Amino acid sequence: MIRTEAGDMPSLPTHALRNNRILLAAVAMSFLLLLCSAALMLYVARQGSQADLQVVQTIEIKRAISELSNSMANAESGQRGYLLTHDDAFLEPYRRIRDTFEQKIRRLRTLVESRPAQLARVDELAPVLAGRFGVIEQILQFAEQGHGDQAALLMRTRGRLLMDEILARIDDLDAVESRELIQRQRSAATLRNQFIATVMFMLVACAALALFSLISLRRYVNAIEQNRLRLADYNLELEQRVLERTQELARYAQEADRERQRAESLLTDVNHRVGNNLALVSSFLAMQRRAVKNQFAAQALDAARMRVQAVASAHRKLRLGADFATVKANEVLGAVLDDIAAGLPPGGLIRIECQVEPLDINARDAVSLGVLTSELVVNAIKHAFCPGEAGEIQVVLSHPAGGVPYLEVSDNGVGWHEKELHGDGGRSGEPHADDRQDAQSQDVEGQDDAGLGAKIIDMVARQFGGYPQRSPRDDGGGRSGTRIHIELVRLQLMQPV
Amino acid sequence: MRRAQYREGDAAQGQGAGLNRFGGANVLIVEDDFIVAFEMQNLLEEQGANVLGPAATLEEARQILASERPELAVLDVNLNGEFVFPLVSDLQQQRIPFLFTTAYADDDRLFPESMQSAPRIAKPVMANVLIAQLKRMLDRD
Repeated sequence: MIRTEAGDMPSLPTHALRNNRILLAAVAMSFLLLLCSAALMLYVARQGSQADLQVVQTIEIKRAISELSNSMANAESGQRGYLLTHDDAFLEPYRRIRDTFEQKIRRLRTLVESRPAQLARVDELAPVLAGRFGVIEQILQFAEQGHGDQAALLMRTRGRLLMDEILARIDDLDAVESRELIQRQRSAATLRNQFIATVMFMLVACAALALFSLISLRRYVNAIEQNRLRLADYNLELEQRVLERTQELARYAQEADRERQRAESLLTDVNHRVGNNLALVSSFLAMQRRAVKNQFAAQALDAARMRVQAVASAHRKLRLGADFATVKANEVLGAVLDDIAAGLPPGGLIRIECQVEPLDINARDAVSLGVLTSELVVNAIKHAFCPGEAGEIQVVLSHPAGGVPYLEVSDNGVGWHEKELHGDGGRSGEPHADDRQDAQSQDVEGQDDAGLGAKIIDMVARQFGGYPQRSPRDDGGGRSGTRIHIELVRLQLMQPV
Repeated sequence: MRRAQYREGDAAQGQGAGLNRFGGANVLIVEDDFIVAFEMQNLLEEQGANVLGPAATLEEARQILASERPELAVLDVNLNGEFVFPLVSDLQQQRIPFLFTTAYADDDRLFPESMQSAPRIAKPVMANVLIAQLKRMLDRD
């Protein structure tokens, strides 16, 4: 009925955790890929821009070459014009190129300096140009000196040759640059294509990763949601079980409480019946007492009734304990001594002093302890004092720390050893019997009752694991008195509730 | 310190003496146990009381009260499972002093608030205790 096993509880799935790991890996991969892509793109872009730069440079070289070529052509034309007209203005282009050609060559050299073949070509061109300008200078001198035919001859022969060579070299330069330009443009185009391909690839890869991440994320979220639902179910079930268990426990507690109340009321009832039955026994003894004529029989019945009374007095206190298992020693013995005092002869000469510690004792021992105390006190009343004599009886129950609890009944009456000294030979055979006699009850039956009382004391003391130790009280008064000390080794002391 | 109570009517002395302490006073006894009731009746009659009853049930006690007027009442608490308490209000109305004899003497919880102060004598009842208590109640009247 009480379920304690947890075996049927739903186990929480672990694949959510695995999904989580995959998702993390995917996101990390995406970032890594993005980083690589960015680096690659940067690299390809730089390559592309370098290629473009080279294309631009080649175009510039071509322009410089073309400019040089034009200038030379202009100088040539100007020279011819001058030869025809002698107009100085025609020489202007020539002079300009003559003054600036070295600068132009230097510039060309700078532009092609990374390419040794082309540089060599430019270097070869420079002296040819210088030679050409020398020839033009010579032609112009001829023309000034009036040797027009010589000038024209020179111009047609060396001038033309040089000019042809110059044009051929420039063409050569230009052709090389043209080839270079085509090549560079092609490589730039290739790089651009590569760049585009790279970007495309990366876009596709990123898209794939993003898709994968999205799917993983969805799965992860789904798994979490399912876990949450399962957990909620689990909690609900747990709460239900706790509720059931609590109700069950409450039911048990209620049942236990009912049972306890029933047991208590039964016990109270039984105690009440015992009390009534003891009253019945006491009444029988009283009726019998009334019926007998013999004085000794009457005394014996009175003694019996007194003992029943002691049992009843002790028993009366049993039901008062909170748990029915323990009882206060002072309450039990107080009731016993009260009832004994109530039955004392009138005159009030005998005092009973009660010094009983409020020990919690087992209810089982209560009646025996009450009987023992009653016998000791009644014995003292009967034998320690003469009728009409004042006296004091002290009852002590104590539990010294670390020691054995003891019961002690003492009186300030005539001491028992004094009786022995007076010689009552017939009693010496019973060492434990309290064989004191008071002066007025020497009858045989009375002694028999004293003997019975001593036997009862002896037996109950043994039941408690002790025996009566007699000694004089000697409290400085006239008489030595008697002290009877019994160690209650087996008296069961209980923890107070 | 405990002093012996001086009570008149010690059983040994009162026994068969035919003393007339109660001077024929009517005493109602309510007790369901016939033996106990009979012994109590003997005891009180020895002391010169005129015993009414003994009644064993509430009904019997009420019948007696209808026709007689006791000066004192001795009530057993539990009459065969029936509590005597309903009778107490009748007695209180007629101002008849009463005492309880019961094996429950030490159990206060059992007694209704208005009856907590009434004298209680534990069972088995000691003759001298009962007589002394009744005498006190009679003298107070």
